[in-house]
Amino acid sequence: MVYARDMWPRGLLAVAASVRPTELPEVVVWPQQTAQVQQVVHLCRRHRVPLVPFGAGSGVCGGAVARGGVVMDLKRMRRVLAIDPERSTVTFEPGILGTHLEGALARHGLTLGHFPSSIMCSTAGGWLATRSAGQCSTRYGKIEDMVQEVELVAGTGEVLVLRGDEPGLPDLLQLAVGSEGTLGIITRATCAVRRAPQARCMRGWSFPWVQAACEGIRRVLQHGLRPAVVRIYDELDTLMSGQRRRALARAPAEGASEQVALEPGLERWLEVLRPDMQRARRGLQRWLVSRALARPQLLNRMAGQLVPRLAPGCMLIVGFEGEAAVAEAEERAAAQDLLAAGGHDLGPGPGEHWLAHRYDISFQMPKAYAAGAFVDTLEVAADWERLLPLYEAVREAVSAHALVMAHFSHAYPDGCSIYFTFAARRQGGLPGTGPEALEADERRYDALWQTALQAVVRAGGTISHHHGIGRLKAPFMHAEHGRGMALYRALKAVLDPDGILNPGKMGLDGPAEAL
Amino acid sequence: MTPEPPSGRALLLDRLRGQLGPAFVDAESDPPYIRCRPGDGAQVAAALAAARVGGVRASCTFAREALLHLDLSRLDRVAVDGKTLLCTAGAGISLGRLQSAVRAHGLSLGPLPPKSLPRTLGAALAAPRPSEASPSLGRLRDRPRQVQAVLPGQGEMDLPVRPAPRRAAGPDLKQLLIGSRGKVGILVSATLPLVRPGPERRLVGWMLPTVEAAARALWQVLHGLGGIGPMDLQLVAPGLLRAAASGTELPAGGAALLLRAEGPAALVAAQQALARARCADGTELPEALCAAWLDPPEGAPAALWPTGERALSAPSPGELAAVVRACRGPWVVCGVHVHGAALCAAAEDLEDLPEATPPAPATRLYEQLCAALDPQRLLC
Ligand SMILES: Cc1cc2nc3c(=O)[nH]c(=O)nc-3n(C[C@H](O)[C@H](O)[C@H](O)COP(=O)(O)OP(=O)(O)OC[C@H]3O[C@@H](n4cnc5c(N)ncnc54)[C@H](O)[C@@H]3O)c2cc1C
Repeated sequence: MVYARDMWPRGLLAVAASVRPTELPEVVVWPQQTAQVQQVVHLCRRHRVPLVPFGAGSGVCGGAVARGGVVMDLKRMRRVLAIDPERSTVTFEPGILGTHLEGALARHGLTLGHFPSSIMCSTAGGWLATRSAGQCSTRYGKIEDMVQEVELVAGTGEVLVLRGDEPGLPDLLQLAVGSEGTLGIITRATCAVRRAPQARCMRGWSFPWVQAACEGIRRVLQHGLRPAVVRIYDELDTLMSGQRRRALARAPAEGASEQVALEPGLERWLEVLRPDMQRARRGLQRWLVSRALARPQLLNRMAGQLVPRLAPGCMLIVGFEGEAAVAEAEERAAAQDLLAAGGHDLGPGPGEHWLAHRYDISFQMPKAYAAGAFVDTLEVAADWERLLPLYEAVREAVSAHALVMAHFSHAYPDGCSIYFTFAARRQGGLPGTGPEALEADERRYDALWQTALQAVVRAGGTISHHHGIGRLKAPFMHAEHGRGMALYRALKAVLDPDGILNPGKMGLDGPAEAL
Repeated sequence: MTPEPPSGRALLLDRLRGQLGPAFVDAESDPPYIRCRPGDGAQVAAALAAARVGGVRASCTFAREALLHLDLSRLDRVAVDGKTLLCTAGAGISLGRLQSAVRAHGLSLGPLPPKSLPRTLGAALAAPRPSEASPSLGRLRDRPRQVQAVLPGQGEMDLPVRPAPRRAAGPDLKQLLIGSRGKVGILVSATLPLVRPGPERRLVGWMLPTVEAAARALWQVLHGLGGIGPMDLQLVAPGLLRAAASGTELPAGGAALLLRAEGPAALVAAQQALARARCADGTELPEALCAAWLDPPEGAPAALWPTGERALSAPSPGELAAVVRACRGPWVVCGVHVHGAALCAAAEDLEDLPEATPPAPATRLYEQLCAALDPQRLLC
């Protein structure tokens, strides 16, 4: 049997500690057609066996983790079925990897416009199942904005074709999208596509602080402009990236600290402590990381004191694309809003650097684990009114557990998403530790998430902007949907009456299911 | 002599009058039904609870099978947040009044066909029309960030509990109510995004020689802008445009492409230039003529708008031209967005168009959901 876990960092704690996962399926199947998916569903239903759909396992919330039963890996259903440039649509099977789908569209001069950082290791079916967001979501929307039709094999075994525009019916498509394998298995989908952009205008901007950058972006969007890329790195994130720090040092925003030339020793430290721990490969550096991350509260406090003195402000990357004349006009118009909010134009360099390295993060996580740390991310969203209080609330809540930094991306006229990165010490499997070290890591992990999500709910944000729920956030589904969970349960009862599909996920099994 | 026990209807009337106030409950006799006007979500829930106890069916769409009719006209409050550009409005307010209310804040709901302005927000969400969409804002039915609703079995609920621009927390549960024509639950209010018009605004148009050329130009403008702009984009039959402009002479042609560009001046100019290039074989129309259709004085061309409409799902330019050509009377293609458009035409012209009917399993699924959420079939 071959089975790959998903990328839930809690599961990776055990992997890093060389502990064999206890939660494994009994059977893995690789169907090639909808009819085979249907047969497996019927079989599982007859024998009351849990069935977990599996894309590429890049999910970070434990959505594809199986406790026994059958895992259905969909990667053999990976054909592009039709590309229709006249109707601007593409129809594909769910197991196709993101890069392959984009590659097929590129040959027709088209694009889906969906570029998650995991594009090389996630499937289009997984995107639809989790309501994924790409790096250009501000312009093209999330995957749920692109989809027109899905074929779904429900837990009853029935094959349903769901669309959002059936006359006289509600949008049943949006009830299937985001259901993370709890209502049915997506076996085919059609999405809208666009012409590949003729031009791209990427730029960096510096702002004295993150609030000013958010204000600038709010103005840009509320003036009707639609950048493809918006990324605001907070002061700590900006400070800890050599490339960003140097770009800002050359042209600090008015009001930002000017003391940006760091001691070489401090510079090295900051690089080592970045949550992706790019440099922490050698023994001494690993030891330093682990000592530092063992006192997250102190580390966050130090960061809080250092940032105002050292940070050259924060960096915004903003990019427009499309027909050259329109993209350039949008860029010019945005510049006025960004200047008015206190921004300073850094030119195209930082934007183009980001574009060239946009997928690098996908390959950094293992390095952090190797360096004796664990890293996780939380992506939330709120309207502009609640956004900055939400940012402060989560940082405050998590500071006792992990070093925390953030960037703001996926911006909309009414609000924005915040992407927090946490880094904390990991002890399981390190020399001289026993099994209790892994348990302690897992307890710390659970406590961190409990605190973080409570803070999100209290501050009025949504618990997930694009990673989904899985098992990780399931206990908070009631806080997210309240009485609306009755509607989700009704859907579940109709589409999967025997409860075979992806059990234990999405809070359907009770409001207080343990992590 | 003991007085006769009050009938079920009388009991229901009493209960409703007690809960909503006598001024807001009327008993009609021909045909016999009770009409109540709840003032908030709690009163909607109370009215449904009373109907359930009384064993009568209820409706907010004046369905004939219902004994209790909920008139939602008192649910007309509007709250606007100028920072987030969100407004929360009661289901009973008309789209026209809502548009005026948000305009007072310098904001807009985005373009809507004039024939939609008398509809209430509740009706527009419960029974959406394909014409209620815009290239840059998408469909009106997809825009709510949150709805407040009352379901017969579950009572009042906010879907979701806290509004957010986007989320990845399971199915979009509010979509079970939107488009359900009042059969799953009753919409009480909705939170919608608004737009800030301007600072620059231009209404431009071209008369294209044929319907085919116009359909292709429309497609190229939409896709030239990445499928996300401009604010409004329509194809209009020349006869309709002439009537709206009170008989002003029009250049000869098969169809007019009209476009509303809004936003910063540089962007508006670029959108206009792009459209001009795509309509190179057409004749540019004067702005006043375009305004007569796109931005008419209050109510003017509403009467001209063909009443019937049909959704066109991601049509190719050729398909679009073919359905337009099949119309004998006046027609408009509007509600254009990346997933489709609407053809508004006379009912008899639409009869000839084969209507896409939902596949039986999808309809069955919806009926099962209605039965699961309203087992007593209280709502109709
Ligand atoms: C380095 C890294 C970067 C990432 N960046 C992003 C990002 O930028 N944006 C973003 O949105 N996400 C991102 N993610 C998260 C992840 O890539 C997404 O959640 C993705 O959508 C998961 O796709 P997958 O094919 O790997 O699904 P899996 O992880 O295999 O499954 C995810 C869930 O979907 C269900 N599922 C999968 N396929 C189907 C199907 N065909 N039918 C029904 N249910 C199904 C599974 O049961 C599970 O519940 C990132 C993850 C990593 C590790």
